[in-house]
Amino acid sequence: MKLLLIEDNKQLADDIAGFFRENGFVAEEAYSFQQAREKIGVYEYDMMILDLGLPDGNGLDLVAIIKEAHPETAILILTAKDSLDSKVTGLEQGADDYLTKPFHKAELNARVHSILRRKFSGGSHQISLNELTIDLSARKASIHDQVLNLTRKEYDLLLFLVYNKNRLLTKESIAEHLWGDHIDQADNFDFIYNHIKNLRRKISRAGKGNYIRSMYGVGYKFVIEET
Amino acid sequence: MSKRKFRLLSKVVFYYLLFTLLFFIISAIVLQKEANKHMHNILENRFEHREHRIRHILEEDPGKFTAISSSFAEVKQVNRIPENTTGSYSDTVMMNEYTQRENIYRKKVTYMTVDGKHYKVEMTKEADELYKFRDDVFHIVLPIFLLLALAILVANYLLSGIFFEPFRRILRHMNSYKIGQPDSVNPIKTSTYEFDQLKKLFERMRQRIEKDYSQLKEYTENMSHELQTPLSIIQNKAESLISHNNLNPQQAKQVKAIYEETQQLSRLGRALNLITQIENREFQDIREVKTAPAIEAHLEKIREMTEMKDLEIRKELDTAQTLTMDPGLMDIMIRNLLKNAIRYADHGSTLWIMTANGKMRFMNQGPEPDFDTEEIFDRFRKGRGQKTLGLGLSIVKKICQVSGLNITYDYQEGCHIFEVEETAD
Repeated sequence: MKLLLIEDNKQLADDIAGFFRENGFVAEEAYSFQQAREKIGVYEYDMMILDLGLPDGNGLDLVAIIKEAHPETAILILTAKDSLDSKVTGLEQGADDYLTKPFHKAELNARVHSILRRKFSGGSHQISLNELTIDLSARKASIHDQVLNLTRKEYDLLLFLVYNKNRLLTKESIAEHLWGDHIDQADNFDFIYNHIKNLRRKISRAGKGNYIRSMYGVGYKFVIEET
Repeated sequence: MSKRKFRLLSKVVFYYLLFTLLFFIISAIVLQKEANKHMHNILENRFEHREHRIRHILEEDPGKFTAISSSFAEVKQVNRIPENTTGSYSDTVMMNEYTQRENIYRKKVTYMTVDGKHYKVEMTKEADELYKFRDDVFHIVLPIFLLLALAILVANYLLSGIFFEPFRRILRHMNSYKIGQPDSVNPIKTSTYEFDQLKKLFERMRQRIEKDYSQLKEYTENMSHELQTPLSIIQNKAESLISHNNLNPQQAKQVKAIYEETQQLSRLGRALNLITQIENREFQDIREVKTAPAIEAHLEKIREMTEMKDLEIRKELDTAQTLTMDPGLMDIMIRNLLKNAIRYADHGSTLWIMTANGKMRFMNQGPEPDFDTEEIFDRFRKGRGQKTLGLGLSIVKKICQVSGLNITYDYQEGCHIFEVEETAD
């Protein structure tokens, strides 16, 4: 998958691009409107992550430019300004999703994966990891063809963990992913532990060991070695 | 300091009338003095005329005086004339022989010498008119003054409506002025210099306030905006650090602290940004929104939180109830009120949500707030030991302000009660 990241802050751009490269993407960076336009003119990308606040132009205009050059390109908008207007305009012009800064990389990753899967899966709505299979259209997970009886939240949690496999997920990022703005950082995150505990129990009952590891009390990691 | 305040025009009229009254009294006194002098001269003239006749009679026939009626004059022969005999006057009340009414008479006593003989002459003449005239002055002046006063009062009443209308409009405008409203006082027209000055001054003040306010707002906006990118970087770096397996517990704890504080900062930035957006009225998708489905959806989302605190939720929702406001704002309002109710609810207690008759009520059992409840909607006001930002309720308050809603808080019998209601206008 080829990804273009347009973000004027080089540090942040490197961070995000590096993150996706680790995930097997071919990630390129553009730090200005001009640079982005040049790249779009020459290359074709599957995915574009776009920061709206560029120093030399309005990021929203880039959405139109890409849509004309390569209508297939998936677009995710990043912005520091949590403004409803630019959100609506961005989505209207053909962006696929929208994320407000600051964000958890895990959240960005999950969003990117979900967009790409929607756009480029070619009919296959399944994620298979060794013995674990997730049917995205039926919203069901199974191990060795044995369906796990998951609640909606448990399913969402599992999917989030799988999208970010072998990577730390902080409790905050999990809480935000599952409950959005209903959660404050200051809230007690014990109920996340409950969800993790239930998920672990259901997976181990299906005959598989512990995928989910606790990390320093900060969060969890879904550890799986693909064979 | 609660001295009674008077209208400017009433005050002006009061002093105007006071001075007019003074002027009238003075002019009445002068007028009467002048009239007295004039009457005195007329009387004096007549006395002189009579004196002349008496002298004439005495010259022709001194003995005749016994025959002349006493009302004309009394003449007595005296041995000598006292010094300073220019004549003396005195007024007395006597009965008029013909009209049988008491009248005022003036008596003149004088001396004359005829053919070497000295006489004392006493003459009386009716002087009623003199006094009558003095009374007449007051009889004329007083009604004129009263008439004038009445005319002024009526004119005052009628004109104040016209003259002071621009002033009252300017006042109303100042009174209803809210910061951030681009409403200008300029369209108010007035030909009165002072009102025009007032208008211009207020307009200048308003523009200055607006400018300061927008600069402050811009600053907050930029601040919270510009913070987000650096915060993203710090957050990402901290996450990367924790992801590595080779941290010792001490280091992990420190990175965790950095991570958590960054989160807090980013939330702060977002909340302040949201407040600015609400103040800027960026949420303008105003329509009738049903409250019940929104509340139900939020309750579903927070089920895990309520279960963890063992809260019993009792709801009485009017399914037809609507509020006319931006749906996004209603969402934030309900979410924040629920979050607040859960946060401050006792473990295992009950949470009531009721909607009826245009009212929305959130009620939860919990300890009494440890601060003045008047401050509950203030920014950064929160219960002791709470790690929240303390912006949730001030956001709710802001939303209510821009959406024509009124929100009240009360603490009764161990319950926190928040009530949202549409304002009458």
